[in-house]
Amino acid sequence: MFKRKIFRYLPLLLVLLLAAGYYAYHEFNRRSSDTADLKPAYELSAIELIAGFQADEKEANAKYLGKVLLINGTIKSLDKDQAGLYTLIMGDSTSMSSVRCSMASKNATDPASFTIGARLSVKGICTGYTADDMGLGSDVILNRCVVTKSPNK
Amino acid sequence: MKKVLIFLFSLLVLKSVSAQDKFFTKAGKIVFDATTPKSPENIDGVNKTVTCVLDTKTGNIQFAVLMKAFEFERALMQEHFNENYVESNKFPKTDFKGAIANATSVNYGKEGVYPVKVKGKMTLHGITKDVEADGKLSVKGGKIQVQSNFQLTLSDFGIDIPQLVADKVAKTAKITVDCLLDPLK
Repeated sequence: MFKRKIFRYLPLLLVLLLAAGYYAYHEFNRRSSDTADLKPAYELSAIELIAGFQADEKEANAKYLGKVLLINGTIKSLDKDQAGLYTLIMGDSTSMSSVRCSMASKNATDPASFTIGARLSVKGICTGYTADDMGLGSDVILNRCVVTKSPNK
Repeated sequence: MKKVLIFLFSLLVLKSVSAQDKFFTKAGKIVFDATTPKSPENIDGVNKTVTCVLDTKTGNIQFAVLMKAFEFERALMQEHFNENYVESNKFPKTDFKGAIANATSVNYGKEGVYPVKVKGKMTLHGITKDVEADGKLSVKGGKIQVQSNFQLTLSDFGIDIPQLVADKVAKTAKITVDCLLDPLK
């Protein structure tokens, strides 16, 4: 009786096992999604984002940390690291504080072609805030950034 | 008039000298590696947005590291690192404030590679501890490269490795620091 019951449910058990195996395999190998495919949780200006962190770092962290943000603003400058990856620095050019957008890859839209002072929109993951306690200005950092709207020159 | 000009010129020189005392980067690199021989794959993440400031006059050195900026090859590993280990929502930043113990042995005016020992306080996962590490400073082309490899015992900072993965995740992580500092103008 018991054996017959087991045989009846065997296919279902096998399907469940296979599904669990597939899920575990897929989860294990999952890569971070391409930022271009992610929907932003918030859209705001670079100046608003900096002001939010300067007003209350704890609250801003709770709101923005790890979230996809779409930031509109002006390019203040461009940095290139040792590996050739660009960081777009956005915000008010008269202030030392900025939003630093670390670009997703070398193959992303070539930031070198951007003009300082041009406006554009960048999407990235907010990784936090460095307050101005080293005399370098305060920064909000975005990682894996992609340009969503080309600069209006 | 000549004296005034000389005075103004020496003021300018002094100002430029003092500005050159500090070197910094906001795009420094730190690699966190907790791979063990029994790990099924490499457990390492890289952070490319590290802030570092070195005051060559005093030998003081400071780092600010955002924990969410560590990127792992596998998304699941990155999620575990943030949620279960360093709890980056609760403790978003790691700070190091210290000084070069043998600061006098570095000649910033002469290109070369100088071995250094750095001592200071690190705050990670909400816990502050004394940390010291060996490294080297390379002075070249008006820039300073700061490099170091050291070990960090995770339990010192209240980061526990669950029993289930105890032999697959190292209790002592290897930390590699590589920051190229520009003069602060």
